Amino acid sequence: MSAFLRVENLTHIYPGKIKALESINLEIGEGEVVAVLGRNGSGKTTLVKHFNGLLKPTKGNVWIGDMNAKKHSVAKLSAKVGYVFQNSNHQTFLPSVEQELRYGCENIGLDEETIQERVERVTELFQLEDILETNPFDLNSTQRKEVGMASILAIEPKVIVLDEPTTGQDHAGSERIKEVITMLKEQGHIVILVTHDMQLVGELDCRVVVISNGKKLADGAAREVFKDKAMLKEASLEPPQVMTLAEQLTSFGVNDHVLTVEEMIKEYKRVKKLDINKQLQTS
Amino acid sequence: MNSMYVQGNSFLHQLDPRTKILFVFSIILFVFLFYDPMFQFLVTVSLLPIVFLSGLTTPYLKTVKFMFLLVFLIITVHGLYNPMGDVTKVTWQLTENLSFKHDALIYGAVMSFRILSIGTATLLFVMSTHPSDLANALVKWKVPHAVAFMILSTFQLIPIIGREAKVIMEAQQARCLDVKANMIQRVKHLIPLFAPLFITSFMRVHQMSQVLECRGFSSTGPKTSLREMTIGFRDYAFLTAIALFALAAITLRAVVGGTLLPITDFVLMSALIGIWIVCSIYFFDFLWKSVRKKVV
Amino acid sequence: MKNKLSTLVVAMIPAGIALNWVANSIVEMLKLPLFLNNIGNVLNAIVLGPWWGVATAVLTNLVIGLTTRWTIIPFALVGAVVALLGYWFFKKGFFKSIPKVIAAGAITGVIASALGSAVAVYVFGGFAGAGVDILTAGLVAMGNSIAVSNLIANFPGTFLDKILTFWVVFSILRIFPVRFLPNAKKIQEGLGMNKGKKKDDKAA
Ligand SMILES: Nc1ncnc2c1ncn2[C@@H]1O[C@H](COP(=O)(O)OP(=O)(O)O)[C@@H](O)[C@H]1O
Ligand SMILES: [Mg+2]
Repeated sequence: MSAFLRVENLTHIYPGKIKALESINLEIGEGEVVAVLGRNGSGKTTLVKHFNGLLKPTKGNVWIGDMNAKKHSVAKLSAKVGYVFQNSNHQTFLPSVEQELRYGCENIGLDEETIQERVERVTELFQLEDILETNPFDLNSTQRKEVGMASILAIEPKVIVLDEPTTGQDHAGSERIKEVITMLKEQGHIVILVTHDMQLVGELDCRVVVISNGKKLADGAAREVFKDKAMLKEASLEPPQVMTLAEQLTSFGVNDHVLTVEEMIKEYKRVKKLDINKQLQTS
Repeated sequence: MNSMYVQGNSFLHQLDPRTKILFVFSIILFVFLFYDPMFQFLVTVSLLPIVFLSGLTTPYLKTVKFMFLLVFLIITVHGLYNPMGDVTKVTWQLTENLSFKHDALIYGAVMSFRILSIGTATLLFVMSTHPSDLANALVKWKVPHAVAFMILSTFQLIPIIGREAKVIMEAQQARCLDVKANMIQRVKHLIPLFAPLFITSFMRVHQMSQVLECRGFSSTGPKTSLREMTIGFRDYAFLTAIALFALAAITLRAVVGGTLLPITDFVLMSALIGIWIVCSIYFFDFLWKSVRKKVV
Repeated sequence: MKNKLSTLVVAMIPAGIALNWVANSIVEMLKLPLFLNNIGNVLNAIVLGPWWGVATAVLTNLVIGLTTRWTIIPFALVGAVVALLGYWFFKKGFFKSIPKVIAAGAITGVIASALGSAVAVYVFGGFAGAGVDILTAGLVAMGNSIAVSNLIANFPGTFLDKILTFWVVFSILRIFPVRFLPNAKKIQEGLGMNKGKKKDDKAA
């Protein structure tokens, strides 16, 4: 069976002849987490907006399962591809969190029982029990963003697109987003993450797609992609700091296959032990 | 910026906005003084060299388009159907019971050229005046500073709120709001689209009103401005010319009356056919462009 | 307190104008035959006061007139009257239930329609520089007078438009986060909302 989300030779040209994407090919299968990386204006948002039909290809095709994204409305595709916008203020309007969570489900015409079930599920996931009756605008921005994300997840889309989810989030918020992504992956969802947060990418240890000037520069496991320094330079990206640190320390015997702080600590302990052993031997 | 201001360095651009406002008003005065299509036509045509000399020809031609639809309808429909004046005086018999009447055509032509000349003058003003200069000019005219400020910030706000509206439309569609649903559903969709727009605008308003407070907006005392303007020799020369014209026009009106020359059928036919020709040029240009768009 | 209100007004009027302007793009996307370009006037009339609604109306037409089509400037009169009527109906308790709001919108629609036609006939010989002019011309060709043709051509659109303008403002004010409203108490009273319960209202 071919992958659930397929991008075939996608080119997008904005009015004014701005070529934002050029001949992109991409296949993403169930349970995959993919981080889309690239500098500002490289075309990341343009790419992911094709997945729920907010943009239509100038050339090429995008397939969501057996649906050609060209031929379906955003509303229809959004039942399959949930798109979480950067600023949840742009979608929040109902006077209680609960109504916000129900809104998308009501739009796709689910019955009351299913809606309640789903609302309960996302409430638990984001621990929103105490604020269900609150007006979303009385919440802080981290909470409001979570409500926005939860209202999309309640639709239970197969694919979830997160455009810069950790921008402007506090530490706890970022951690929660990381947990949710991991959990969605386990449940077999596809998560597509547009981000500048390299630490998050490292910790997710996920597949990475690098975009530069509308072209796909690299596609592979973060660990491998981040080793291609020439490519990263072309895309103006910096690998996670801890990875750079590990690379600087290879002469001390540190393995440069390190991606997260945790791995670095482990690696440091290993090297330290070796060192002590060596000292013991020589003495 | 949504304003139609076209950057430039022409004579017109360098005039003080106040001079230009007086200029627009004097054009309005001229075209309402007389009820004579020849005169209105002359006023319109005499503005065209100013358009050209100010380097505004292309944007001007683009924007007068919609005025020509208006003018086309006015002169044609009134000429054919307006029962005013002497309906037996026929200028052009089309079919047995369809004809352009003399008196109605005069009305149509006068209206048309009034609209064209006022429109041209206004466009000249708008295209050659930076919005913040306009705001400053209003302040100099003792229009309260707050009003001038409001006009200026409107120009800044419109593109911002426009972008916001676009994002909101996308965000709600991502929550399965169907823009292609039936009419009743779509009417209901007005709320999820307008409500976040209202709310985010209010948030912005609160921030802005706090910022204004902090910067002492509501303090009394004279306000100063970054972009300073002065009325110079140019303005005086221009104003003198306008004043002379106005004087001559008013004298003429007093002596000769509202109609300067006898209005012949030939004049009326030229006005009618002239407007038709310009309209059809625009129309064919439009057709040509849409065909080419389809082909490419 | 007075100063506070004045900076709020200064910030709110441009927002009202921008909303009037942007309404067009929302209506266009939903493919509804409406304008909703008085929405900011009615909102400001209710939230700030009637004369601020009028100011929003006049400045809106001035700004649109100065940027896209100057022929809209005389129609500021219509926008101003809609703002005043919006405030008046709000004061008289017409914003307490949907049927009443629709009735208020309908009456406003009739008045606005008549006024709009009067302006169009008086200033532009029965046309307004909009697409609907073609319909007016057709009606004239069918033997109607110019004033009647303009009225018939414009009435359905204007009538529906004012009803929905009132309905949108009503619906949104009811679900509006209280903390953003400058005089929330008075507005909620005008909307017939339960004063005792502060948090949960039964809107929507
Ligand atoms: N609506 C639009 N109209 C025209 N050009 C656009 C539009 N949106 C984005 N672009 C251009 O397309 C390019 C890619 O933008 P975008 O996909 O938003 O980049 P990223 O999300 O990677 O920052 C940029 O050069 C941007 O200026
Ligand atoms: Mg982006």
